[in-house]
Amino acid sequence: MSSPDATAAVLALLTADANVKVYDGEVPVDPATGRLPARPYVVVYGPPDGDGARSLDSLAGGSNRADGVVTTTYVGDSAEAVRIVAKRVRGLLLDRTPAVTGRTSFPIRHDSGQNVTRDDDVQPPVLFAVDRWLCQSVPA
Amino acid sequence: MSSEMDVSELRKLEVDLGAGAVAALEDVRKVVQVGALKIKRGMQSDATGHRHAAAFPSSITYDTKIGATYVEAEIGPDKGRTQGALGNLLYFGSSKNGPVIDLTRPLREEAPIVADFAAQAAARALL
Repeated sequence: MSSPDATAAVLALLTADANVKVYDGEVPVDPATGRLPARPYVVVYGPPDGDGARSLDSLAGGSNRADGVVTTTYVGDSAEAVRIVAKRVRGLLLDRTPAVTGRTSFPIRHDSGQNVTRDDDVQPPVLFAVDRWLCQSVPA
Repeated sequence: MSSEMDVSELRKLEVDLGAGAVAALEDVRKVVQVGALKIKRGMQSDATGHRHAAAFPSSITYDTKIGATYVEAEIGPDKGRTQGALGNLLYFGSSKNGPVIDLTRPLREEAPIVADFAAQAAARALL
């Protein structure tokens, strides 16, 4: 099935795995308890238009090439939990070709990332790590 | 039975290629330095305009190194400079927030140009 943009396509690839808890851009707080959901989980942050900034397509000559970075942030109570989610997500995304309506996508490439880090700005402190994925496409 | 081969010309070629490789590295370093400067400026530009990180762009620096077989450039915020330590937060976010700035946009834009000029510099030095 085809998705409307690269971020939606990444979300579709991740939510296909029932063992990964995925959130799109924000983590919902339970209105009754005011608590965040149980960890571990991954939060997906995509570009504002879902596909990313348009850059020059040297073959076609117009600014049709979408050059987007989708970020996945893994949050857990332990470094091991973060690593398990990260490994699973990497298996789901790396080199996969997302299906985006009206566009020809290139395989998803790993762009950069941040190792497991403790976040002391939240209570209780949690651990998190980050991967950035390059999602590029041209008009179909 | 034995056979002999005159490899003196091959030795001369080996020396010539070795000298060419050294010259190529110096030329490639110049290309990488220009590329690194442009990437640094791109990163500074992308990092400009954030109210709580006004000094952060000035923390972004670059350095190039040359080895026996490689040239490398390191570009990014210097944690020893004012607000340089904000780099992790701005480029990768936190457990609760996403990133604010695209870390590799200037690199993605400049890398193909650097690779093209570096290949031309290497070819000139070896031919």
